[in-house]
Amino acid sequence: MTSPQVAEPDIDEDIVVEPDTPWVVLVWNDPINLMSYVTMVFQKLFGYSLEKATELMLDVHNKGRAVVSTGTREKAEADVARLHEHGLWATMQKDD
Amino acid sequence: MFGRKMFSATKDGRIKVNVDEGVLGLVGSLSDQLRELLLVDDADELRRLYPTAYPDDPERQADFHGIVHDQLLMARLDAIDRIEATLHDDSLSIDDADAWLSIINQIRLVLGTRLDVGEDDDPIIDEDDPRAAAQVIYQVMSHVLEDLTGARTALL
Repeated sequence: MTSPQVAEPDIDEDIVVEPDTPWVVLVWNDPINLMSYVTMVFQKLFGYSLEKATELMLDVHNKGRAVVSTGTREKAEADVARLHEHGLWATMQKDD
Repeated sequence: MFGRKMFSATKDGRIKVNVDEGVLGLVGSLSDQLRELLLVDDADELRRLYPTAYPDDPERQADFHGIVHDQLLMARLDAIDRIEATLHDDSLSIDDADAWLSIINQIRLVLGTRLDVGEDDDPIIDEDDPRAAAQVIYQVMSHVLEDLTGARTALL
């Protein structure tokens, strides 16, 4: 058995690899959006059950905000954009 | 006026429309007004339609805004076209209903911003208050949205 000649990997020491920290998408309470509408949007966008979507909606309503999804920055941005399209007040941040 | 359901899910996966002509006229006219408003850059009443994604990171927020703002605008203008095309239909497809839901909610966001709706506001009762008419329209749109949400939820 032989192993192929492996070239020394060309590692650029200056590149800082961002730690693989997940991002969280938050939805904030607001006085305009209807509770039933918010629940339906959570079900539609994330495929949550009525029970799970209602629980998240109540968290938003009672605690002021809730984490509705997590993932890479790209996924979080896409989720935030879809929530904005549906009129929900969504932000994203690193899950520290 | 709201004794009967304005929208109901049907067995073939559509939404039957049973809305008063006056209310339909209001939806059409408010949709048209929303289109005009959407095309005005920096209309302050639209601030709830374009929330900040990165409140603590102005640089990333600027990038996000640059990419997403026009996509949202195009989606909204398309949805308004779809409402206008189906305003007097007897029944709606799911895609039609989603356009209606999205735009009626945005109308409420603009009216609510204009009325400065708060969490525990008492309704304005005084008919002489200049905001009383806007408040009635806001409440009518809330009823329409609530009812359509119920029918759409039944088809999820």
